[in-house]
Amino acid sequence: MTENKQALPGHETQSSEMNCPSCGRFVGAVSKCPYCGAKVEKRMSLVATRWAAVLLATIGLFLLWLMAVKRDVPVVRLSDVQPTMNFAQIRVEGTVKTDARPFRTGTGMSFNFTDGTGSIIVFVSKKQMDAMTEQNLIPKAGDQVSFIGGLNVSDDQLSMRLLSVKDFRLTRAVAESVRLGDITEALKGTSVTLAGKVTRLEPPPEGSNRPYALHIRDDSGEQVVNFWQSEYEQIENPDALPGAFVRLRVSVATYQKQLQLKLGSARDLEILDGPPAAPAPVLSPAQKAAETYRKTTPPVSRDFSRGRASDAPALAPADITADRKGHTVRVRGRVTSVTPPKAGTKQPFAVMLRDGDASLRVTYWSSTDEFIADKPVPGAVFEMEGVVDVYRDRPQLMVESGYKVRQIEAAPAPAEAPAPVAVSAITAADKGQIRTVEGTLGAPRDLGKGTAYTLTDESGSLDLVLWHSTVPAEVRDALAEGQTVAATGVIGEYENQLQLKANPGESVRPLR
Amino acid sequence: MSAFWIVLLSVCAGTVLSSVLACLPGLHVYNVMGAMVLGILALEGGTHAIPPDVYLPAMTGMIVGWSMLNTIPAVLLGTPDESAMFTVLPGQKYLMAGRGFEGTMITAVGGLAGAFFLVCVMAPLAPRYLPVSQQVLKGHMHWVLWVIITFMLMSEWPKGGNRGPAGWAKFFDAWKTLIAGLITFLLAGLLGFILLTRSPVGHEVAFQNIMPAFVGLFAIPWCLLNMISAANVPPQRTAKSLAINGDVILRSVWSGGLGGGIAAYFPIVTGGVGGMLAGHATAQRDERIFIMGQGVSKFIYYVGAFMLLFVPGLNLTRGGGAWMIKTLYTPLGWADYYLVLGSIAVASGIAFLMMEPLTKLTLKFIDRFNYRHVSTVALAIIIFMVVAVTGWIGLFIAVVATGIGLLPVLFGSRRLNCLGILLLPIACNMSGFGETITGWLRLT
Amino acid sequence: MKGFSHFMSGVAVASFGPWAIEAAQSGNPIFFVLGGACGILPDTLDFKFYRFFYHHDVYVTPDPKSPDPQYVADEIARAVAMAVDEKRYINLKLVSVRLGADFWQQYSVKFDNNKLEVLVKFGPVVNTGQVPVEGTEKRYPTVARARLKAKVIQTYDAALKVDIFDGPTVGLKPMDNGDLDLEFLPWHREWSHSLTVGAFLGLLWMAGAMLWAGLPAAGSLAGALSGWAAFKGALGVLFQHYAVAWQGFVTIAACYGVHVVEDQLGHMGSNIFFPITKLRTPGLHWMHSGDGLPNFLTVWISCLLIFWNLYRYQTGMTFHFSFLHLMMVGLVIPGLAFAALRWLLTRGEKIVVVKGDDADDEWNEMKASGA
Repeated sequence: MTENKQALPGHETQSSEMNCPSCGRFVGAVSKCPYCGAKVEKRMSLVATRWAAVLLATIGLFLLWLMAVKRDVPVVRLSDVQPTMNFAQIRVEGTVKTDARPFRTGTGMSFNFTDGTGSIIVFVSKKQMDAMTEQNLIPKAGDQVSFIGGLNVSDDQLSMRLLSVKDFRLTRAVAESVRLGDITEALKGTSVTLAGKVTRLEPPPEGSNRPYALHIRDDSGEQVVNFWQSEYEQIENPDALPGAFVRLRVSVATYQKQLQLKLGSARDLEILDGPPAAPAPVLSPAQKAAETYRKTTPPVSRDFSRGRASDAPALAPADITADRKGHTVRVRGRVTSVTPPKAGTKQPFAVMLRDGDASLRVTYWSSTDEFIADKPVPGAVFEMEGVVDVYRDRPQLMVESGYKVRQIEAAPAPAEAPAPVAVSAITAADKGQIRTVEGTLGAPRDLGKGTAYTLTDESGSLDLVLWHSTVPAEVRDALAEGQTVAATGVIGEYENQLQLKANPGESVRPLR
Repeated sequence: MSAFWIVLLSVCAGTVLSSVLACLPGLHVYNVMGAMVLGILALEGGTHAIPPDVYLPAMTGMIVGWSMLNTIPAVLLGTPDESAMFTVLPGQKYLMAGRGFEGTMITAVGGLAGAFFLVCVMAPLAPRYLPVSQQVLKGHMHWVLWVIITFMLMSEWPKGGNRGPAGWAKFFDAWKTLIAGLITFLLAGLLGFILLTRSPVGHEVAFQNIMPAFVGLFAIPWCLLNMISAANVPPQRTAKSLAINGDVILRSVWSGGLGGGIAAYFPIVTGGVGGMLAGHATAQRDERIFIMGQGVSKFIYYVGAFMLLFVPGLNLTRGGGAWMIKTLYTPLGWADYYLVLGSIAVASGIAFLMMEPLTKLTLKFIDRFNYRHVSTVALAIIIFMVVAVTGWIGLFIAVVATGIGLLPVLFGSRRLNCLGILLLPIACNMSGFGETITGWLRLT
Repeated sequence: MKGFSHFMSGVAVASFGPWAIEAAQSGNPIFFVLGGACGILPDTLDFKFYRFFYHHDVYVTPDPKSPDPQYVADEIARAVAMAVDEKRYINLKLVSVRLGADFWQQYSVKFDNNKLEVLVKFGPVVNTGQVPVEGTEKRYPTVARARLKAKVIQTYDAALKVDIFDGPTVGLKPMDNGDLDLEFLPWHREWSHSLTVGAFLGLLWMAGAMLWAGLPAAGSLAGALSGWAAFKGALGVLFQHYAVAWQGFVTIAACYGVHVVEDQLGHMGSNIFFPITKLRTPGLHWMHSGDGLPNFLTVWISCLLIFWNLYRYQTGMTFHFSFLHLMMVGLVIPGLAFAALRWLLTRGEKIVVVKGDDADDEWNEMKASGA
């Protein structure tokens, strides 16, 4: 402050602690005058406020952290989840509905979970997935789990993200011990424990994607257990398997209409010191039914399809025209083909929906596919909601959310394949008809969008064509030159040569 | 009643309500909307269920009204939200020069100009060009956040070190404020990790997890400081005209539109950060452009972010308002987009017309009531809101956040560093190592 | 140029490296962060580190209680005399005068080489926004004068006005003809703004990254000298193994260098090849570093270039456009629309756009953002 000038605006009431008590010059917030070196006492409240701020910030944060790590996360039923719980961390306890599925991109996995009052899709990051693999915590259908997850709730979506593997509790579904001879299709979809002696271990052919075949026998029969290279690499001493007694936990499925036993992890395989004890006989359905339990009716879980201005009926593919571009619509139709993206590319999935003569191309990205609970398969009826786009003058539908893809009707069970006929018995009159041929495959020929083999039996040969969009990859990958197969398909003609176009689905199966 | 009248009345009601509420210092529109969402959900399915035709335009009007009229308490009562911290400084200069009315109205002109820009320029172009930028930027949002963090931290200049001979003493004197700023950023980031991973807030109101922290980081420190050390406000005078022209308006729209647009489009980037970036990018020296630009920026940030939810084909949720709407409603297409645009246009006009009478009313109010008492009342309202929505746990979080929020004010660093609460954890999560850090912190 | 312009230029230059995009797509932001940080690093080194250790020979510290312009003039004359008598470079610091939390006493210094005098006048009190406080303009009407021993040549038209925050440093350099060359902020861009320093920092990074990576796998370089193909193979292995090292070097050197290049467009210039060159090379005077339009164009064009580079490497795009299309939609058309609108709105009016002086803009920016 100058001696002979009027006070500056605001300085009339300025606190004296802003000036040096010795020389009177303005010093601000310092505690020692830079002009004369005198000590400047600060008002207690300012000092106190500074200390309070520092203590609040540090100690308070520490206490908050303690509170966060120590608190018991409440168990919440899925039926009680409300939109205001978006971002909440809750604990859920219940059953895994589907085996955990890793994402195509390798960035994690997901599984469906239910607690009896509702179901939800749960996402697991890659880091967590790796940790769970190491600790044998990958959930399988039927397992009881309890975990903490973060909710993602909006008008039309409900999902959870696993918070921590440390809090993930898993109790494996009890896998019934069964004898090899008792394994039937009735056990399909369950996990069982079996034991026996390994008679041989067949590796897959070089360069093939086929699984290993572990032949195992007990006094009731013989079975083959399949596992892939990733599981083989986890087995500690695979050379010790042939001739050894083993106990395994396998899942029972079917593949190409035949029972398939799959080993999910090397940790489910135990090499025994000696012959195993005989398992108890399988309970009959009546016996099982005698084990009754009381089931309470779960409350109706929240419908997450609220908020619509109008619940318009789904449109048919023929109704989708170019002038609807940019509109959000719902379309229903039968899936005729599903083309996944090529490995290593970022192409979208492409699904063709058909209704009558009209068809509509539907696309969605891999990230959307992860959210689809029931994946589209040829033959099934689906309802899909998305935005209409026009590509090369043709309308198509872009689905942005996996929650907007719903299965209305499952694909019909494939009709029984007709009895096999000889190649020589097939003539041009059979064009358009379904025939089954058994023969040996020649070398594969790449057609771009499909693969062709020469199928030869004792009477002759004809081309067998498998289109990628209709025949699943696992069927195609299991085929190799020299294999004897039974193939069912429609007789067609190309460049004056008859050919057999394999039916959608598992229409080509190796013969033993 | 036809849909047209329902929508129009809802817009008017929402705008008028929020315009009045906006004059209350410390109250954020997202707090009010959060309470409304709870109410709408409670009535859902019953005889008094509120249809989207009513709450959509009403909430649009609320956001527009608040973003325009919140300038009044920000300039005249000095209790801004974090996005208005740049408005305060030059606005406060006008206030201390007795020209608070002028400063407020200039900001309001900025808001109106922002409305024109949003509805007439951005809205027609958004459905065409934003999906393109979404595709291009897909997978790159994480480094955008990191780059913003880097600039935020590197662009803070030391305030001390102006006196004395060269040497370490001078260096440390200068770096005191910078170190305080870095510590603020880190502490806020830690707080963010805790709240986003294992929030102690009850799960029933988890959608307001972050609200107590934001209140503590920004609103409460400002109220406290006003209560402790507020200067006396000189007498204010109203003006018949504003010293602005077309050039000022255009430049303000340019700089404010850029800042608000960045904040609206990029996740986690708030109005304050967007304003800072735009201010640096456009290098305007005129104070009027600065003030008006902040009005534009604020409008486009809040209303533009809300509008993005409705852009057909974009499916982008930005800003608290959009997230809250998403719990109630999923936009269907062009009809919803036009509904929202029309609501914005109508609401902007109403809000601007309410600006002058409410500003004059507030001036009479501050003439009569002590500045410090007003801040005390504001503090009480804020605390009540926090406890009402998130309970005592929320209040504890707000108290801890207040400690962090006071650090920049008391040690002279930039308050933007408090945005580390969202920037740091989300940037880490987007880059894929958030889990590693929460693992170290034993949160996961 | 303003710091943000330099920063965005750095990010834009970094985006030209395919490795930066690839790393970003894998969740690693390092190259973009490096690019931005190195773009702004030269000014950071000067304003946040070096200036606090820069030695001054004379400190002019007016008394805030009774500011005396004659004292200031005498001290400046003393500094000039020191430079002449001792025939050495003299650093003179003009310290600011703080009167209150928001008030500073402004004073200005002018050299009159015709009369060999320095003139000092204390102006109004200003607030931290450099706005004069009403009624304080005529507090100190006196203009103090002091005789100078030599002419002080100002090739850089800097306003020697001292007001808020840190006062400027002035360097007095004796010339062969006996005059003194006045250098504004001699510590700024003395060594930091040079291409060689950028390369050096890049080398530091490279060394660190190579140490971190360790040696390549044993046997991977076997037979490297057995032939040209083997040699090329070995080089490939080395480049692969030390990818982060050389990519970081290129990013740092290029992004640091772009700051130097941009500053050469202004007035002050830089010491481009320190330590090979000793003095600042004057700038091209194409722009004032605080001008709004050049700064904005730099930032905006950088954003467009970044966008273009991201687009080039993005897969699965359903939208396609050319570089020309991007520039038209992103720059030319909006620019023309803005210009047309401005013309329409300002017809018949005289618009005065506040221009900056030639003072280094980082200096002004630092003071302005100190608030």
